[in-house]
Amino acid sequence: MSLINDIEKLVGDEIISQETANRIRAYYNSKEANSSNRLLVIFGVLGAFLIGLGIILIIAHNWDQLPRFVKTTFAFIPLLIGQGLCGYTLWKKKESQTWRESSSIFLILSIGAAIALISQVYHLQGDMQGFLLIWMTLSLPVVYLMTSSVSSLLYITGTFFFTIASFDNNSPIENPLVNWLLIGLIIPYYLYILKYRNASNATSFHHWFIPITMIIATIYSTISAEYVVAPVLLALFGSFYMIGHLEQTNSMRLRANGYLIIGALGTICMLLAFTFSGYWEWIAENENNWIPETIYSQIIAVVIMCSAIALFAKHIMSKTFNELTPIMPIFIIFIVLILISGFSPGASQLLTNFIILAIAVLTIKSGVEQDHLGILNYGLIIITALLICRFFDTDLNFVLRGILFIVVGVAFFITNNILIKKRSRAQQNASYKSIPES
Amino acid sequence: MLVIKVYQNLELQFATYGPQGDYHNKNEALMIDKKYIWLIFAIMILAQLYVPSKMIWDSESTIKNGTAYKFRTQPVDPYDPFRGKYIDLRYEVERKEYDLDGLNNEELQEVYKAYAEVKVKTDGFAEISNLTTDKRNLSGDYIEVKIRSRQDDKVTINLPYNRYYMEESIAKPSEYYVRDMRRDSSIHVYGIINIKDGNGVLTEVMINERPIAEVVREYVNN
Repeated sequence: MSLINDIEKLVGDEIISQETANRIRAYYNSKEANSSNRLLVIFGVLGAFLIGLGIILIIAHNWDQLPRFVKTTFAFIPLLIGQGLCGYTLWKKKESQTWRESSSIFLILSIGAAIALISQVYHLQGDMQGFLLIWMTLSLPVVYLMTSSVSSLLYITGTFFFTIASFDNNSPIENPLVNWLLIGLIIPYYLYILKYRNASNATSFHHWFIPITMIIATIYSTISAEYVVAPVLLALFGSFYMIGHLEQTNSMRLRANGYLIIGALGTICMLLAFTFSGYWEWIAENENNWIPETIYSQIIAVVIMCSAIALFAKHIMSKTFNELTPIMPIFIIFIVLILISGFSPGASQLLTNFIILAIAVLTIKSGVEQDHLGILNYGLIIITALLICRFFDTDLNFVLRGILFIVVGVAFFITNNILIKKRSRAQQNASYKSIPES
Repeated sequence: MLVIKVYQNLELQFATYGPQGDYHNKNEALMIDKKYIWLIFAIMILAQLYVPSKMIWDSESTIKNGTAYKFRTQPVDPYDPFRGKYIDLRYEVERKEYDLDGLNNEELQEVYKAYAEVKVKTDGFAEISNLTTDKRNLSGDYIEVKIRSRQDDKVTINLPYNRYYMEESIAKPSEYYVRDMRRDSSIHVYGIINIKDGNGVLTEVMINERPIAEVVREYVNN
């Protein structure tokens, strides 16, 4: 903020004009107001969270000396307060993000508290899955009415845990479409904030929360046909990765681009797992279990596959060959590998190793070309991970393994060194050029 | 219709602010049109009030109009993050094996729930007199139960009334108390379940005609 203190001096010395000085002042003032507003939102949200959770804990104590009707009446008090606060916000304070976010969160938590207290009073047996389904269904309108992104995140978290609870065999709802429906119901809101609040932090969190929930839902949907989980999951990771590479997402900060990171890490981690013989032998030895049990699971698997193919086609058509990255076609290559494993499981395993090696080399190459240390080292880390996996395979000679490790270690030094030198040379050239000729 | 309206509203805002429009203005905008907001708000409030009220209504009606049965039981103590401490009840009727419509082991694999007819034995406690998959076969009070295991053409069941929520300080002592007293054959622990039209509500867990909370409080204080 030293600039603002120096403005008078700068104007006096005629470095900047009075008009520019006013504009600089206005800029800093608006920035300050914006950041204090953001703090207010964060503390408002935090406060509403703590109060809501506090109420749930107080309810969990179980006041068994109170008569039943008193306890049931108490269940409605936080709920009515929450509804009142939301109504007031819509009426008088709809411009205030702090009011909107905190009253919504309080209402959502008090819905959960009311259902929990009544289940407790009557010893209703409802399992976690049913509880979360009712809670999230009743909370969904809050997100849209109040245009509250933190509530939306809360809803997605609830959907995530609903899917986790679905894995329990005793859960009453077995249809995976319900999980996808719950995710789908928040998508219009997601599209809305993508359009109008692209820069907000809450929107960045959505780029992480939504894909993570989708991963769990995909595993749950396809688990009945164990073999299908891997190719479908790879197609999902591939889709995420390609979404992360679209024009709209590519311009985001890396930490906001959850799709790109989840897609890349998910694909690499899965491929690393398939460099071991386990998966291929398991496919070869067991009876084929390729068709999911229910029609819903089949539909979901097909939809995920098709969307991955569609995204891939979109990338092929809109980009030159050099712009495509090696991770994009992995989900198609993997299906070829599965077909090959029908003849020779060992060949598929070996090919997976080479694919990872190829991804790593291409990544290092692109890191050097783009003069980007992060990408370069990401490629090296992939190779290291591959080596560590091979380290556990006992059929490789110790000396060979040792040499491989040393080679990669040396490569780390050399490549980083080359890039840094190249960079400083470029900087020197630039600074020579910038010296004015006198 | 509503969806189209919302979408049109979105498009309007989009046209006003442009794709990257003014960030601050966008932030203030509500997503849903003013015309509909109070209608949706009212529906939401009613739904949020209806669900808990319905839960209370159903339970109260079963308690008031249902018949109370005593099921012998034994408690252990777990915890639920939202609803607090409860004792997990293991009922005596869950330890018995039942015949289910004469089905054999293979056919039983496909059956996950059944209807259990409840009768009072001569000692005053309840028992399952008949287990079937078709409730039309039943004449008296019945409850829906889950099939827990299948063996030798017989099944064991789970009563869906295993959770009894208690005040946090006495849930654990309840388990200890009952375990210590188990050898004493004069002590009966049982849950009272009110049953009406296939619905049941667990209303109380009793130790020899007294509520468990009362007995255990006395035991903890001495």
